Amino acid sequence: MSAPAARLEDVSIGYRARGGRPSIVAGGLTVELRRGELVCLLGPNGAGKSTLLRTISGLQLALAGKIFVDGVPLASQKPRDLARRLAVVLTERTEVGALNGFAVAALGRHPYTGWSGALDDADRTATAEALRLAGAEDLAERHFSEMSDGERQRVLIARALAQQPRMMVLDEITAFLDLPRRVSMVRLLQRLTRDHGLSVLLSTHDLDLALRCADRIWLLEMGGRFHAGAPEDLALQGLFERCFSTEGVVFDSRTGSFRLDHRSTRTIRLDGDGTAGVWTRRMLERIGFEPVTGQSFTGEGVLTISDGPRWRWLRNGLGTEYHCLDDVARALAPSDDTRPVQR
Amino acid sequence: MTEHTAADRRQAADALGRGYRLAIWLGLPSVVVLLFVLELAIGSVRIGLAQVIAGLLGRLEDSGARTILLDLRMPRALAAALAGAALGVCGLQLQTLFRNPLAGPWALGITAGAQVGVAFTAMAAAVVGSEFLRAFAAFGSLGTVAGASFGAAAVMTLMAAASRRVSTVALLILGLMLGFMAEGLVSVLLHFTNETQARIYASWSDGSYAGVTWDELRFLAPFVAVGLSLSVALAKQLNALLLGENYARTMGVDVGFARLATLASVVVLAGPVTAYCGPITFLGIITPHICRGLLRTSDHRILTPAVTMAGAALGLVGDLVVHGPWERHFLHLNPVNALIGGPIVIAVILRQRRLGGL
Repeated sequence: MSAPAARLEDVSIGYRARGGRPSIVAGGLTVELRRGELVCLLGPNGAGKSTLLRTISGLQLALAGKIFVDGVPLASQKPRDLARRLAVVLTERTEVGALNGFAVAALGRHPYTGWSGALDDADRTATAEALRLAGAEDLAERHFSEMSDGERQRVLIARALAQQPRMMVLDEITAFLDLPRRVSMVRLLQRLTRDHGLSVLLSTHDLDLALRCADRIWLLEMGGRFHAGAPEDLALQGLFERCFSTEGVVFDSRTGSFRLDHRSTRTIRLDGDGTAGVWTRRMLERIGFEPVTGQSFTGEGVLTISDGPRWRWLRNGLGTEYHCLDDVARALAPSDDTRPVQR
Repeated sequence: MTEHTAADRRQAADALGRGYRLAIWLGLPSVVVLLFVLELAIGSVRIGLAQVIAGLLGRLEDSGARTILLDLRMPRALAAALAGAALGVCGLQLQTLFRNPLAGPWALGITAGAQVGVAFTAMAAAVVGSEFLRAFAAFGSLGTVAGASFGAAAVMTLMAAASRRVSTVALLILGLMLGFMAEGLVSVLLHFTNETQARIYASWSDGSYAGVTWDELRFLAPFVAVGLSLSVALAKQLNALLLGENYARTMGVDVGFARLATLASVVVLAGPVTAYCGPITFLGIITPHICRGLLRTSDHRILTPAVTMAGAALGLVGDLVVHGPWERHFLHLNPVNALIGGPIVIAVILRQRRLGGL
């Protein structure tokens, strides 16, 4: 068995104030990043995700404990050797001046080139390959300053791949991207782990995406408690609810996603399932109803979904037919004529 | 267009780029040589091209022309080319290091620091007395260089520390303030200096390549050579720093060392140049921008030699305008530089605003 891509032994992260006591963000972290594994680092804002990533990347010192990258202690590695093992993509927006995609990606060859930084054929091949893997081939000739956020991220990932690392650390790189681009970015990272044996540690806010794509999740709670495990295990332990639920928003373990926490005081019976059933349920929860299924129960009324889809709302013996959920919502929501008249 | 693949188009673009770059790499040295010859030929006394070539080959009979050519114009042209090259490369390095498109030895107050250093040396000389100076023969050159370099290094250190606390624009204003304070400090120092030293200083504080002697060039040239070599050696590190210090670090750059080495090369370049030529404005800021525009790249491995040549050319251009065949000699170097450089700086600022940078 080869050494894990990274291993933390009882590590404390935080900041060393000059002269003062160090402020510890999280302590006692012991965890491994295995080979060929995609790990998502999750946690609320301010829990120390970036601090942890910066510490593993060697950009700041651990306050205590030992970090091994590729089986070698981080502290004893020369910058150049570390750069051949571990590459980093940061969230910060960078302006590089006038460089095209190829030139930016080729900067990743830094730990391999000689004193002058001149690229030889092997460097050029490695850079081209990195651009291909990152899906950034068509960006090679474009100027970095003219690229969109997503395109820049792909070029920066190509730059990281050009370092030919064993392990990549990416900090919030999906933050500026829209959903389809976020998904394709994570797909890309998944491919790199599956097909090329790269280990990837990715911090993200996107819980939903993390739960679907990550091999394992590292969860950093506010106050420094740390958990690592398969996404499903953490969900079963109820950790996401505890970690992410705030006022008005709850994590629903059954669906694996967030929903707005309405105090549903009003219940109705819902008959119907399938896609229309799912979205009808969501609409009802949104406007403050708790849908219940079951023949014996009626609540305030009965909503029946039929093919089309169409909705039939039956209350007090009066039935009305609707063609869209917007109309159903308006019919169900307290409107002027149902509210008590104020005198 | 459909039958053209992306690779075909890229190849076509490459070929075009290659031809264009070749033209620049042939054009830049040609321009420098041309300007150098013009600098030797043009002036209040006109010396023909045949005479210039004869003079360069050591076969000029006319002793008057020979004196003008070899003892006046030649050292002045060499000083202009060396100073322009040095200041341009300083600007390039400072702009990358401070991530500030308007950085330059003059804009960041480094020139001003060097001036104060020189004024201190002049005052020290006045206090110690000229007898001592005569005994210490090299003082005139090395003392000034040491003073200028020390002043430049002090300001560089200050600015490097300040750049972590203040914004890009604030740093430039800080440089400007340092410039004013240096002026004030210098006039106070001169108040306590004897009259001869003060007069020498006053003429020097204007900035000019005239008056640089062969003796002084023997000191200036090696400093510039060392500084330029250092900047060539630093090109790879500066390229990595284009992405910012964090990225540079993760790509294996020893950022602390790279910063220190860059600052050292700036001091070795800007200090001696200011010691011999006085404060020279604008060349440091504009030369890198001109080269980036010409070559459309920020790659220091390409820019460093280009800036060296373009800087030499701009140094010579400014001096040519000043020492043209005019009836009267009222033109000074820095106003000429300002007329060339001002519009370029303004263009850079306006473009930065549109890009949301600066």
